[in-house]
Amino acid sequence: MKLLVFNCGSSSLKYKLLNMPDCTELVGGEAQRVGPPTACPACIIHRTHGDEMQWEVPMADHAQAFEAVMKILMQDQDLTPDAVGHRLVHGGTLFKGHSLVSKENFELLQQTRVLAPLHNPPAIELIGACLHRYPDLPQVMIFDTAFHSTLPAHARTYAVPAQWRDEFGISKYGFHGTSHQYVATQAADYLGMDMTQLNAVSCHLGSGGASLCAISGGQSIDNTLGYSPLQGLIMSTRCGDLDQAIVLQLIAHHGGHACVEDLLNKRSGVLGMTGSTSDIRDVIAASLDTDNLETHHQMNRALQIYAWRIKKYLGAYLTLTASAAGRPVDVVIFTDTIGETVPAIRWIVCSNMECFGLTIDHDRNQQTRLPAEISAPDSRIRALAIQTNEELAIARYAFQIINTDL
Amino acid sequence: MSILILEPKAQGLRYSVFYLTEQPLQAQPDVSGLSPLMSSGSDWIDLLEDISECLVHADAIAIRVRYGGDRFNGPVSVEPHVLDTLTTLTPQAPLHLPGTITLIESCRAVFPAAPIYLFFDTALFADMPDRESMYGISSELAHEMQFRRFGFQGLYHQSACRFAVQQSRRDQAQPAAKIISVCLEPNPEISALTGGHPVFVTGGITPMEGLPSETGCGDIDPGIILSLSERTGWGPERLNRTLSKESGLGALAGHPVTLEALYADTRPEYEQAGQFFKYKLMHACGAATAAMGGVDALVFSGCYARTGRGLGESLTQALNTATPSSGSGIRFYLCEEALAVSMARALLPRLSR
Repeated sequence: MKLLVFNCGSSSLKYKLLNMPDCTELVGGEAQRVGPPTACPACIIHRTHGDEMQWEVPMADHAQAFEAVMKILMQDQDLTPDAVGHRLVHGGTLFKGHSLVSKENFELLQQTRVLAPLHNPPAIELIGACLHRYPDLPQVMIFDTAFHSTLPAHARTYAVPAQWRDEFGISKYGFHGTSHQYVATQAADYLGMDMTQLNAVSCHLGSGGASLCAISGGQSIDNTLGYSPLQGLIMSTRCGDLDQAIVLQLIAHHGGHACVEDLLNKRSGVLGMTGSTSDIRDVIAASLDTDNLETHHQMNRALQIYAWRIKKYLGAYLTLTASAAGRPVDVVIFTDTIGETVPAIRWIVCSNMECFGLTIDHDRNQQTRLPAEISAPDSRIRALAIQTNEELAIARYAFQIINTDL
Repeated sequence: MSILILEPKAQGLRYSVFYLTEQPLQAQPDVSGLSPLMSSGSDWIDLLEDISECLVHADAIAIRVRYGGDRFNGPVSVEPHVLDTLTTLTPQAPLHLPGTITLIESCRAVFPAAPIYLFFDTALFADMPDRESMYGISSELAHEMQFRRFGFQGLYHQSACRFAVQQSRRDQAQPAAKIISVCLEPNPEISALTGGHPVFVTGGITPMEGLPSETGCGDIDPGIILSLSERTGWGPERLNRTLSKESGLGALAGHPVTLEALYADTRPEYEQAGQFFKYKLMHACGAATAAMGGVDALVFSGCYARTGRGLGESLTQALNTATPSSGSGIRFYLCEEALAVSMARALLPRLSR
């Protein structure tokens, strides 16, 4: 079976066509800068048989991106898909597990638009376009929130009035579940453990979003993202944790909730702290430049604040996971763009954590070939850098569901 | 020598009088009480005149102040410039500072000869590192709107920390250097202190961030407030009232509840709220341990310090499991000393100078 996977970001569309069940990649690529025009033109980077090609294609929305990608795929008749898997960031209370697309649940899906306004609407548009083009193909929705459906009540609950919890679905949903589950499975394989025995803290540090996940017995027990993708760590343009009074004061004095939503989602985080870049890699580079002392201090401070938040959550999750499992954590996993490729962040986060039994090794941490074991040989907790592969994970879950449900 | 300690609280003004002799400071004040909530300066003066009847002579007055921003990093005696500074800080603590300023003026009117000292709950945190005190938002906006993290139970943390050092020295001949201080007041708070200096605190720009309180929600996703604002159409004031007065442990239990009752009573509706609070404590203790690179001791203080007996067992067990490298194990202590006694103790060296 040829399974086409779509991973819809807020301004990108990743795709991969895999032969299942052996998971060999036939083609893959990414439509970049989907949406309003930016300084650089929108383009599609397409990979096939080890070659990479690039085309500039105007793509005002994800439906246009989908059409452009399909035009490329349809140049080869052998690339016609037999099934499609879609990544969705937020399933809310309506979708606690992955499921096949049907007319009924596609209608239900519309209600989740508001829960992740940057991510869910384009993914839903894409499913609509796919249904239009391939009305007879099985299509599967893979939800990032599904892995976190095992969160216990004390981790899932917010201490707000019961009416709000019931009426508005105020609850922690968690995100990046597909990635956390994938790298945890890879880590269990690396350590020679059964996934159901694995106690881990997974650090998904992306160039955009980021979250930590506490995993006990192979199941998610907590995630730093919450009801929305705003809570927790400081991200590229998202604020992470804030005192509620800050949000309320901003609503009162900075133009109402729509302006504040834009501010906290798109102009905060690393970009807000530095005023010039949303990429922590740029911040690290600038923090090393001592020619301009003011910039050096500002960037160094932003770097420390960013990493400190991760470190505190790592300590919290090492404790909560150990308590849930009754024994110390087996492994700390770093993944996604920053987690996989920026040793400096891993170093700051894992330094001075010997009390937990975690010791990072300087030389091992510099490895670029993944998976890499970056902990010291005598570290009680192992630390791994593992490349995430959300598209592969989506393909596996989708294939499983198609074979079970059809 | 007589000293008067004043603590403005939500329910009223707590006053404590100490008659000092050559003996060490007593564990309890000689006279104490809680007046009803005051509404005007003349009421304060009436109350202070009542108190003055049990004082032959007030040699000094100490007032607990809930907020001093980053302008006060320790106790100060009231001078004109101090009052000016407090007035400039009023927009950042509009519920507390106007009443405090009125109280200071009333004290001056009733006890004109007595020096007045101010003890700030935020002072301990005035010099906290930027990485802990700053948020992931626009630096310019944070500066303009004074968005900076403080703790709001600093006086309890200082007192509890001193107590834990004394107790650990007695128990292990080695004073605890890395201490997690858990203040169990109606607005609870955790701080991590290394050598007496805070490196972590759960409070934010207000006491509402962090642990859930009896009526306040504690940490929540900023996206929840944005969503509620849109879906309810409520303004910031109404949302704030619900999040700070109608949420928290009471909202989980289904009716108002104190922290003490939550763990003393076996009512089934308390189970979820009790587990929830314990989970949040464990979360904060884990973060505090990472912030210090280890932990030697936990200490509980506040009006519900005794509730820490059961919680301390769970928390130390979790921390000992998570940090097997902590060797002999982490101990916990209950510091039940009244805050007025701690303030009186801190005041004495200033009077003898």
